[in-house]
Amino acid sequence: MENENRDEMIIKQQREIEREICEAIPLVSQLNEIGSLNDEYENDEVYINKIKDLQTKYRYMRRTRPDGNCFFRAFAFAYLEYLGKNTHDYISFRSLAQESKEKLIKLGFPQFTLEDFHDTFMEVVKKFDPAEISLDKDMTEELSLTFNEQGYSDYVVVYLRLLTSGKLQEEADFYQHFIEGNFTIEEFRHQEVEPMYKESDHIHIIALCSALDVCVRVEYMDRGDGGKIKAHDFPEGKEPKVFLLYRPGHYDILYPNK
Amino acid sequence: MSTVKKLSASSRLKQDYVRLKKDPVPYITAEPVPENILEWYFVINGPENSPYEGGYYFGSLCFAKEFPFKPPAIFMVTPNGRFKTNTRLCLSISDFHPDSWNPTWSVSSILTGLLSFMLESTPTMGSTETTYYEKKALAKSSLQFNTKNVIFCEMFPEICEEIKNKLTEGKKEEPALQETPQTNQTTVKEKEKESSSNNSFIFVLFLIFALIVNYVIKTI
Repeated sequence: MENENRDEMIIKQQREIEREICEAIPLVSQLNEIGSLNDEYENDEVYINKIKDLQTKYRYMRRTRPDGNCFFRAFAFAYLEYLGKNTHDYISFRSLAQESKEKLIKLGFPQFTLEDFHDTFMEVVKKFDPAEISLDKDMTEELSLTFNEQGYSDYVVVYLRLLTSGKLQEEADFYQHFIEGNFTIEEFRHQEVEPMYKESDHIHIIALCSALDVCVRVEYMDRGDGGKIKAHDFPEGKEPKVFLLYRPGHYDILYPNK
Repeated sequence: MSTVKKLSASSRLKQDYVRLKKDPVPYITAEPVPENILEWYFVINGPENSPYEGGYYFGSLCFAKEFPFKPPAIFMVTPNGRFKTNTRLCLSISDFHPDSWNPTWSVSSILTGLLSFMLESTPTMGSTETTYYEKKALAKSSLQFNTKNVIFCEMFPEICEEIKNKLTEGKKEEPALQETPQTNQTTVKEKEKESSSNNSFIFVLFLIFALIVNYVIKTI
């Protein structure tokens, strides 16, 4: 009986922590200067130097809520923002997204719930059709509204998780090599990709980029030596459309200097 | 351009309900509370060839307003021998495991998962261990137990009626059951007669054998 009470209390406490994070940090923040990072690393030489380096390449950033979904949420926001200004890429992405539903159903995802997520995902994608939005300002505002509404935002995250999981299944022979430990691809998909709030690793990024045929550049900022941040493109050799900042355990959105 | 549709746990649960009505889960009936779609009750009909056969198992699902992004809590009300009652069950489909919950799972998949877990014997938080016969006994007593539960009768009036009918039929059958032992007794007596006649037959054979032996000895 005592054990059960303790479990109930742990659950309650977790909920409390989650609520506090929700109140403190929006799902996707407004534009912040890169320099605002300095506030988080006062007197921390290593990071201060790296922030300086980051400033040579990027001007702004958007913070995302650290809820384990940050990679997917940051990616979706940044990519839709790019697509909303690039008609050609938008059209090909839209048809790829439209067709992805049938593909996932064929891979064995439950049709009824998948349809629900796909419909909402497409609804969001259609909002950012360059033909419909003329002003950049309008689009950014709409993106902020959409991604800060938990329902829409999380539906988009789920659908991207399903696309990632589908890619892993489709090319299981290839991705199996990237999985550490005794996980099978099947277990990895169900335990590390499909559930919400599970953090993303390289394998998630590689699979999603491959599923959507897009390149993402991730700038790594950690305690490593050298005073410079390291960029990594997924996949290499293509022109990146989405720029993300990685600090251990977390992804934010970056805006390059122009 | 602004938000048209409200995405929430209740809109998704309404869809799940329509779906469940159209495509019911075998052995399970489930209904949301009319005034609160986040609270559901279900009844599992013990499947054939299981220790739960003939039993009715009543329980509830409590959905968070974050559904389908977070799993529901699952509770059993009827004593069943597999799960503790009125305790949060720890299943991959319940809120004890938000980290293995998959948002594409629907109410139907939750109920299917619960039943298949019930039919296994893997232990987990909230499970108990009982023998086959204890489960059988609980299956039998579940009928009476449920009809005394006010919420059960309110949520599932048809099943409640069905159980009450079964209980009255059961009472009628009971006197008939008492007669059967008597017939058993007669057969036992018959068997006794058989065996005694067998004994006398052996005795006669032995007598003849003794006479022959006696005759042989004399002739020698």
